[in-house]
Amino acid sequence: MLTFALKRLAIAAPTLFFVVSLSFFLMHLAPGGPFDADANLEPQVIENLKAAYDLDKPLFQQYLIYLGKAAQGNFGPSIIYQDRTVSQLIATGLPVSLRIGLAAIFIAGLLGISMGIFSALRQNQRIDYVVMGVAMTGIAVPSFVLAPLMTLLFGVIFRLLPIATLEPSGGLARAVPALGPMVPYILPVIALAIPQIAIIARLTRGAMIEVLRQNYIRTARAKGMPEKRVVWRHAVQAGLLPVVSYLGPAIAGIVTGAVVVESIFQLPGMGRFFIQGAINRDYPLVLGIVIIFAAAVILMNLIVDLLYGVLDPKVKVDG
Amino acid sequence: MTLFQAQSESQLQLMDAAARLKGRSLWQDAAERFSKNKAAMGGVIVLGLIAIMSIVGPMISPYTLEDLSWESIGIAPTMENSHWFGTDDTGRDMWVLTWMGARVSLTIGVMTTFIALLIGVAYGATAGYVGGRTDNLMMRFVDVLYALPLLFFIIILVTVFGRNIYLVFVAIGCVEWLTMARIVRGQTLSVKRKEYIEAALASGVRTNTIIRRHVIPNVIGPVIVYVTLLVPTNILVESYLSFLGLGVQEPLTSWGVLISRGANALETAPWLLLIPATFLAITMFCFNFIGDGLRDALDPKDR
Amino acid sequence: METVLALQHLTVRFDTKDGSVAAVNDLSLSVGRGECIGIVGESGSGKSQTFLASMGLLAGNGKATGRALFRGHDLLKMNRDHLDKLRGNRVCMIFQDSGTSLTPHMRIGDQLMEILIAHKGHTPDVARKRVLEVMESMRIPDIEKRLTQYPHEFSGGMRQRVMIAMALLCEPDLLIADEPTTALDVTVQAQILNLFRALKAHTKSAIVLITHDLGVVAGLCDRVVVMYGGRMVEEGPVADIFATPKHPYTQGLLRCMPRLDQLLDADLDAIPGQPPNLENLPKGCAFAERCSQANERCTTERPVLRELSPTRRAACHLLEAA
Repeated sequence: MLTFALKRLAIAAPTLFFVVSLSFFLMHLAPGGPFDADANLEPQVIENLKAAYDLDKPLFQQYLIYLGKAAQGNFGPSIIYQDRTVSQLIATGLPVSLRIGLAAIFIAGLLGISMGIFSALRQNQRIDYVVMGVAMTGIAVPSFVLAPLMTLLFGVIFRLLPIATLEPSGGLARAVPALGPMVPYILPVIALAIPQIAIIARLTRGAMIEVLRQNYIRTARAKGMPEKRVVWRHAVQAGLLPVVSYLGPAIAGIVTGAVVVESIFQLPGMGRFFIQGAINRDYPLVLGIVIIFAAAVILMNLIVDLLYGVLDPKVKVDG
Repeated sequence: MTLFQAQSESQLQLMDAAARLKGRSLWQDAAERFSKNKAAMGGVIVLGLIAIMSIVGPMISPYTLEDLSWESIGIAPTMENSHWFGTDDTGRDMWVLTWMGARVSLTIGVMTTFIALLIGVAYGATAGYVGGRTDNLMMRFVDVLYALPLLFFIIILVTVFGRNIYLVFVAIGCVEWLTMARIVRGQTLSVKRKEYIEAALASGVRTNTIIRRHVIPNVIGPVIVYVTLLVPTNILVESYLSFLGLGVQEPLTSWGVLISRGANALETAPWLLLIPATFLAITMFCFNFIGDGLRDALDPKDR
Repeated sequence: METVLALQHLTVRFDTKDGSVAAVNDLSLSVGRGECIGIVGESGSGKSQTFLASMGLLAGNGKATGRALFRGHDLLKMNRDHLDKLRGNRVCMIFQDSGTSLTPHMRIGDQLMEILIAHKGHTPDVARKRVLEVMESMRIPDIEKRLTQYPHEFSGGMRQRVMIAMALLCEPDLLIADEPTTALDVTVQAQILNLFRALKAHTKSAIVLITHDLGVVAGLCDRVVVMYGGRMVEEGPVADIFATPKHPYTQGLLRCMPRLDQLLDADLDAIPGQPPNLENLPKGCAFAERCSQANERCTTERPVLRELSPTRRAACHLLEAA
């Protein structure tokens, strides 16, 4: 198990390096720079600005400088938010994004897996079709449609939840003050989690149906194990394997989804900074955020791999 | 050509003929199963209608996108003056916009999938066929890419190279080929281990011939299923980009662009969001039904 | 002799896309205490499905009708709770495919111990002792360590022995063994058969041995039931069946058996043709197509099972004429 973990770690590190390099060169491949649009600036001012951002040096040298600084957590100054460094922006945005993302992953896993198992145990019954129909809708209706609709419904019409702010306000916050700071996150988390809930539910259902057809399930029943034990002890662990391998892409999906959801709900998270940076060609900001996001995704994938090793005894031997 | 080679060549042809015979009935079986699947057939029909409307829809309407007037701003859907889907906040006819958007969204979905198909099949078949260390290295690379939030790379590409529709095609296609490559590699590997391939290799049949005659026909089933699932995924990706203002640019429009604009006017003109969103959702449903139907038809063991 | 299991007019049908298929048709038989009965037939003859149905283990599209009485209680009508008290405890089944019949993510020890914990209310420690005892009798080396391993760390023969151990833990009244020794080499096979013999003699268990290995049948069974195309075609005491097989199919089966007293180059007589297609059984005798003695009546009218003597039954028109 330990060697397995170390091996995975040995892959994770170069992956991150690869991402940093690829993003860096992609960003600098483009013709034109961030100051080109601003035609009012004197040429000398532009030169000074470029020097301040190291843009006057050869590309490879810029790359090395960047790597050195990034390794110390310094991603340089932001171009559009001129009085703040990228690191400062990330420090304010990351907690917001992390809260939304982790909550969404947790809810998606919990609800998706429950729905999938529930449906698999009632395969081809009416309730199974209903649950799977709902799941299909979750896949077909993207979060950028759901989010505005939910905002309209719960924020504008019922005035239950706050919109576009991290201040707890609205009917729910007044009714249940204990929820306090969680209230503003409810809608974004739901919007982010719904597509993943749907995918995980479908995946779990399929895997569970397959597992319940296996010979060892028949053996467990022949041993006189009650159905509860057959399902939870003999089936679920094997049925979760495909779901665990999907968690990697799911996390990537949630991270990209967070970009959209933060933009819609106007939350000051990393995703919103990222889009602002992308639209305004704020290289340092975009690059810094990509690195942080990639690191988060790689880290989560590492955890997923280890989880897989725990669930499937065969991995320990192979790893 | 040695006698042995000639013999095994003719033997191969025989087996090939047999495989094709069997293959044909297999495909026929699949077609029959598929045509019995109501959800999948419904998907095909509805999707066909949407595709046709994306071409003829704008012609049916008496309006074009140039017909703007103060009186026609923000009209709710009505039968009266032929603004069947209403108008948007600049007075453009939503019926025309919706079908124009369908045109772009569907085209992008299909084109990007085609690009992903080309890259994925070439990459996966090479890795699976060459095997060994090359395969290992190639698939590790795919693993690495898998771990990344790829929408980010599309966004970087789009910001760096400017917002242009062809770039959107290429960018989406270039990042969505990973699963395709995995599927193709897996199938190729399993075909490669079959005895008749070994026989063909041993008797010196050319690699190209083997790939064309034996590998591709066996790989095609799972690939078709995945293609039907990738098209809606890519339509969604484009919508995401357009929603964020990084995809299709005016005057071109797509469902993502329309939904994005609709979201801003939701309180005053909800139809601006609901109409394109509904068609997007229906399209997603259709492709998913077709994909599920194809999978069941091609892999009947699940029944 | 007290009857342990009595099947009465048991019929097993499966719903398929092309309609309903009968895997077992109107089968009646019984096994007494301390008795061993051999069920012989080709694959697809319905021998496994008969007993899967009795255990309530049919696949989702299968349905059993008739009665399967275990000590007078109909297993087919029993609710799940009641059935769970018997299965794995009083009625045990050994499956043949040990590679897929053990839960891959559970330790072997846990899979064995949970039986005793569920049925006997043992604590894990007590259960472990009993497991070790039974495993010891299986001649599995290094047992303590083995119990903490997973199925994929076991060889095929080892896994099969675990499957058998599972069934023996509670010393059942009825043991159904589906090809229990097929995967084992001859020495282990002999050990296992000795265990069965001991179970029969001391615990007075009733044993149903499903097999195509007539050698095993001769060594262990008291009676033999021959099945073909989902029906019983012959039944009788093992010595009589081997000495004077009545049904042409039984005769064919016995001719296929290699014998030590025959010259090595003497050809074994295979039964010509294919096992019948259950989806499309002929109107007459299912075996008629492959029977060298078949006449017109065999292809048009299905022979019924007739009593030839107080201990023997067979279903064949030719026996009537004789």
